[in-house]
Amino acid sequence: MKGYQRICALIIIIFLASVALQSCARTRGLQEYRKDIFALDTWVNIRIYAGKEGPDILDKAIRRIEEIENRMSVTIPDSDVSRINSNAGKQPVKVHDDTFEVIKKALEYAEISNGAFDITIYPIVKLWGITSEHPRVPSDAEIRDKLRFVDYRNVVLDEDEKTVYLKKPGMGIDLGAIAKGYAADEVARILREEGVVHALINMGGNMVAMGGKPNGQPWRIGIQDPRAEGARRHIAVVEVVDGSVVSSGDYERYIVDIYQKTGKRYHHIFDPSTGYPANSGLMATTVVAPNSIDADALSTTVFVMGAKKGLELVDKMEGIEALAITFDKKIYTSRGLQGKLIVTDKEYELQP
Amino acid sequence: MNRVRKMVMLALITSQALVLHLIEGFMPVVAPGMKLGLANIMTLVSLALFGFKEALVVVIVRSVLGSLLAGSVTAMLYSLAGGILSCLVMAGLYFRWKAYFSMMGISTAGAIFHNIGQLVVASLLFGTVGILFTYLPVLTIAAVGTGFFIGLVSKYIIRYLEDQKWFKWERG
Amino acid sequence: MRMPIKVGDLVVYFFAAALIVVGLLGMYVMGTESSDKNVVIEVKGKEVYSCRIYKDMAPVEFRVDAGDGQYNIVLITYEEVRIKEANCPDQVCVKSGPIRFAGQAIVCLPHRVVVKITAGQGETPDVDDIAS
Repeated sequence: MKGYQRICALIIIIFLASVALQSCARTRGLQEYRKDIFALDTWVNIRIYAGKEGPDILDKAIRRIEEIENRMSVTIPDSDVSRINSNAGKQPVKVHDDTFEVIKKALEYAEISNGAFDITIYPIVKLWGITSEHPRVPSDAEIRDKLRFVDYRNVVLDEDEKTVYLKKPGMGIDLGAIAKGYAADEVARILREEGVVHALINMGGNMVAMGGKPNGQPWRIGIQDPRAEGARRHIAVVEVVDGSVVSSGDYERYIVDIYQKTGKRYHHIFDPSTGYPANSGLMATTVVAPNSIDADALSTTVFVMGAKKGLELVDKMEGIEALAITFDKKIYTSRGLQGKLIVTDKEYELQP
Repeated sequence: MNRVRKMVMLALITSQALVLHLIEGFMPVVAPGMKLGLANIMTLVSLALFGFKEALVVVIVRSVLGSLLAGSVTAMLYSLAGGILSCLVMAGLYFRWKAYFSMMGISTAGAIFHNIGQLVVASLLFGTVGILFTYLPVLTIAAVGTGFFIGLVSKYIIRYLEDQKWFKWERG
Repeated sequence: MRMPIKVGDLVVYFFAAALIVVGLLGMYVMGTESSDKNVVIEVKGKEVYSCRIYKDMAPVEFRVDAGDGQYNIVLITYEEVRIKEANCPDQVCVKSGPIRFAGQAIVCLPHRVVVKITAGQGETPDVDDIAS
């Protein structure tokens, strides 16, 4: 009888031990960690593959995003950008290296695109207030009045002093079309420094793929359907290993004119030459580039310039590809993207 | 046996069922729904010593109180559905075909139907039949094992109680 | 000591065997062991996370934020999905263990969190995220 009891005790111990061990067995190796936050006026989602230190790495990345937001937001009163704007026509403002670098890059793109990309669009952005609580369609006269302040050549940078100066009072800059790209690049840099190899960063639709997926496949990034009306649906897929994919379009933020009953769609990407929402025949553009800051700036640039001119510009740049979707649901691509884009929605037609 | 004594006996059995129910809550969960079914011992005891109605009362009181003490509304639903169904089945087998079944057989049938009751509630709650099928095989295998064990324990408890002088006297 | 097995007991065991077969058949018929599966996590009826389960995938640890500091940590691996940790009062979601097949779900009633496995639709190529 004693032997029988011992066997019973042994069985129970083995049973309990195996239950306890079950929970430890699955924690080795890489794990996926995700973080969602609201920053830079948009949803930010970071997905990394790391060991136990994953959450700490994510926190570090989030802190960096908040730092960038505090420097480059136009709505935060003491940000670098707000100080530059409030000192327009008065004096140069010393800014942080981050801000200086982004503005410098923005001016480069303004130069390349002949002003199609222009951060001094802020007075026009404010006038329309499309992203604000009280958007409206301003009069031609109002727009013409504000357009006087839009000229990237009136931004003066001092490389040694790291100061930014807007020549005319009334001028203002808005880094909304480029700051997200910069932030995404910075997150990628931090992750890389922390030894992360596989990651996917979504900075309000600005995608940055680091490495490929942990299983060795490339990241598959969908291109948003510009007429999904708020739904997340893709019409095409690009496969990316180490690179950024950024889309811009009239679908992101817009108002529909109900006052004059035209039903016209006014979106948030303005053409610096007219002061009206860019009307180049495009619904959306997507740029694939090694760095997100380039992809971000260029997606806006191509959107303003239109399919033909925009894609020509992209074709001249090394390692950067783009696509443009016209109102009649045709997809035009830069040369390098041909054959790499997988169109998944039959309504959209890929042009050779 | 007079009513008060019967009530006291039932209360004792119910509280023991409740304690066993709670003890089981502390045991590690191997798979959802997989349990020893210790409280079932008391259901069987009350079936054998008192009858169907009394056993059903024990099951219901034990399920409701047990879920209130440690558990949730869903746990109560699961517990009630499984408990009542298994009680019905065991009562049927015990009173109709007692000659053909051992205590272990009755207990195993009860365990199997306890699972079926719980799974039906689960699939109603989740709106999928998939759950029913995926858990049925595992839980049935477990029920054969636990049912046998519970039946064995019940058998000895019932035999012991029936042999007690005081209990015989109680029963009158 | 003899433990007699009676005729009726054999009927019970036969019934058990039949149930096991029915369960396995049911699983087979419903195609729940299809290799293409997705995990969908919902909070208060709203989808907050979804991902595909595939062989060689890295384990995913997703922290579900159910508001007011309530959380459930979901661990997703190729083999199974379970709630590893939660701060709900009843801990039913943690104790209920892993789910493996399409159609199964783990529910955390206090947090109104549902973690379910759905059968993937094999045709449309999945994407990891959308550039919008």
